[in-house]
Amino acid sequence: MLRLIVVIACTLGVLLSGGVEAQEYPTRPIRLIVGYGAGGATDLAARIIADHMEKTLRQPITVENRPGGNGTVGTRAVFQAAPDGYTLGMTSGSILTVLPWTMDVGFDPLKLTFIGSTHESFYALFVKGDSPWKTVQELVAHAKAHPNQLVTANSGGFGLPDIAMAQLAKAAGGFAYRTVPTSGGAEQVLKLLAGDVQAEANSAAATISHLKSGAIRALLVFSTSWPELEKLGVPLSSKVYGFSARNLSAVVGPPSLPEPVRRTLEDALAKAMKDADTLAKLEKIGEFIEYKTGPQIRDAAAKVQAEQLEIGKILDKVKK
Amino acid sequence: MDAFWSLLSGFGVALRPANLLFALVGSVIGTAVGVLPGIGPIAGIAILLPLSFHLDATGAIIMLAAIYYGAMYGGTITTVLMRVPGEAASAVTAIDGYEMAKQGRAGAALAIAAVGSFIGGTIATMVLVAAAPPLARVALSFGPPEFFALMVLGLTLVVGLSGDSLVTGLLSALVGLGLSVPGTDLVDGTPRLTFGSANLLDGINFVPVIMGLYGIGEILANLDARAVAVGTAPIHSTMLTRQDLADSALPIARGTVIGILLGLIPGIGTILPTIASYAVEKRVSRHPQRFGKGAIEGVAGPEATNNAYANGALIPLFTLGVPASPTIAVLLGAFMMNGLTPGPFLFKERPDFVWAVIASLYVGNVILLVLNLPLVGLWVKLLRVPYSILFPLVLAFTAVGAYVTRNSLFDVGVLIVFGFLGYVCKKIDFPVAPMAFTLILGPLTEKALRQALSMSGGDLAILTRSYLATGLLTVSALVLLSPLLSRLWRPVSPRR
Repeated sequence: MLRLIVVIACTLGVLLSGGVEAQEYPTRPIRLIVGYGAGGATDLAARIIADHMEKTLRQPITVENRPGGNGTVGTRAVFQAAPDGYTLGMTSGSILTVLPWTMDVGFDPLKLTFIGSTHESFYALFVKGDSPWKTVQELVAHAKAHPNQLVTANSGGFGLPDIAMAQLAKAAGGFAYRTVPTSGGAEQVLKLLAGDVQAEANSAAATISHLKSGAIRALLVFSTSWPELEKLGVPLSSKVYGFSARNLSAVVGPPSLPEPVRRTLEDALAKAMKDADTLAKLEKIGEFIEYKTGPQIRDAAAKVQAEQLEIGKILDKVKK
Repeated sequence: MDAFWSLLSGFGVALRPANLLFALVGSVIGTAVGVLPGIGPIAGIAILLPLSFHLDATGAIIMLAAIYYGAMYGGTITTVLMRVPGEAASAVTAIDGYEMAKQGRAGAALAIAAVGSFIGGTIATMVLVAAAPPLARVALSFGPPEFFALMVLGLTLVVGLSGDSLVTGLLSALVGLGLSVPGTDLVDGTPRLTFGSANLLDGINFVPVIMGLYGIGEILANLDARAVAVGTAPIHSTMLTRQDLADSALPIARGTVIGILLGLIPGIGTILPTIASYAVEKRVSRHPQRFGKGAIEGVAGPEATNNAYANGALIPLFTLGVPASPTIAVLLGAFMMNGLTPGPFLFKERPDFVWAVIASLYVGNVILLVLNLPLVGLWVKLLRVPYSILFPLVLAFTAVGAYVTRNSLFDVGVLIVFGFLGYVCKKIDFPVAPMAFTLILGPLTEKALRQALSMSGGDLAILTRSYLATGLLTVSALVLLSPLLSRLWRPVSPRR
């Protein structure tokens, strides 16, 4: 009997002393929730870094796909999870900076705990290889001369491509265009190849092989950089029109995640982002690899969000 | 001829012991994944995706592709035996396959499914070899207006599946369309009929709906009426008769052609091709009244279509880099992770890889046939397992399957609700097939229509912009009017 009481007392003691747990974190497997289906760029990046981080943390990290609501359903699950470090999320820039202004996501992304960033997606404006427009200025001139005739494609819901197109239309002095809704980058590029749409903002993953074959042509780089296109002389939107559309992906945890836990995770992520093998894998999925610490990525997201509040208002007008 | 030699060297790679093992492992896992209700090929491939980090690229893709078409066959097994579709594409097979099982012909149904799958898959692969690049252009000629016209044709075919009463069939189809309305609006991104629930932002997931309507509904019905249950039916020979083969030959041929053609069009999914095959068989049959009551043609055709589609859908992936279905999208992810960018350059940059994968498709189809024909007897014996053991197991797997599709408990609730609905429908003899299929086709139809109208700025004339679109719409109209027309014609010229 006495022995039993001692055992119970010891167990309770261990359970109640949070400090001990934080020191030993992680003691059980970690879930990394991705708000998109398996196989997309965000999902692949999550799986690649999880594969390395679990070696550092000595606990398995399972990537869990919870698609829905343009990625917000999964991120909302992270937001509502217990802040114990066993539920993390991989978010894209759309969730962090665009969607809060275009739909009711049910949470404030900036209140999430930021662990670090892995990559920024390349974005550019594309037309078909045999289209008459050789430069972005020619395309804009056409759009202005033929109001609401230019047909573009988005990537479903309101994501970064919509923001980029709206920013371009605004910065170029205003023009109206049509938008064909699609389910993502792959379908977008198909619509462009088939000639069903004339121009679109799209990411690298979906476009790279068609760029190489000359089936499509880039006119303007929306992201802060895209070295391959810049070498070909494609101008940056920041230089021509004074804006860029940044898609910052980040690993996040629930709000008020204890700092020691966050630091442990940040260190593991930083280590993964220095590993040559991991970086080589990330490069293959065609993203601009950029490691930022938690505080850095939070500041960047806040800045982009503030910029896009303005664009959110433009989109509201476009919708009406 | 070039293609022939490349293919031979591809076989050289695919038949290496390691790659042969990957194909075998993939086929087995795929079959298992297909057998477990709800854990479709998407979940199967996604779960094994991380494994491919540690394999060489060719082996990894061979294995993942084998899972993909293995699941297409595995889904048939529970469908025939218990009317629980292992994956959505099997829902059509449930109509006649399960009836065959009730008549003690489960073995024949499974065997013809294996043979049909093999023929469909193999011929589709040959087409992939011979004509991939020119066929890829077909994919591009299917813009939103053409896609919409094809979906309209699909919807008209669904009504033909309704069974005896056209009115209840139409009613069921309308319920399905209504269920497809909640979700996020495509054009302005706002929630639509979600009642503030985040679970409905992506609409009602059709996987738990189908498993509920068919599988759970069937189990509930069996519980209160043991007399008609499958397990008590005498099991006749598991072998196919000469008559079975003769009846199935043409359906398999037609099913293969339908599967390959529809596989070329990105985004169609597996349901429409199988519905099309079933509807065609029912229409050309000399005894359409046997359909729905255990016609072997109703199993042979759709199963051949299913696997032909699975292989045909790889054509847009290899040639355009465009995933034709969500499962292929996961496969595309696996390509990217292994540093391979599917698209026009893949054939030029990595011919060794492409031809090895194509050769492995043949190998995989043979493995599946060898694996599954002898196992038919074993699967049929499953029916001898007492209900008190079998049903809880199936219920548990179905619930797990509903959960893992989106890792959502809400979907388990959907499964239960539609399970009871399926039971009620069975009791009042209300057809569930149109409901299940319009739930899947509804969003695709809406998307195509709204894309087309976004392109034209609201001008409806775009829906008939090409001969293809106009032709498909005309065929739909003929299909709808055909009962009326045939009534007018039949007295004048009796068939054959």
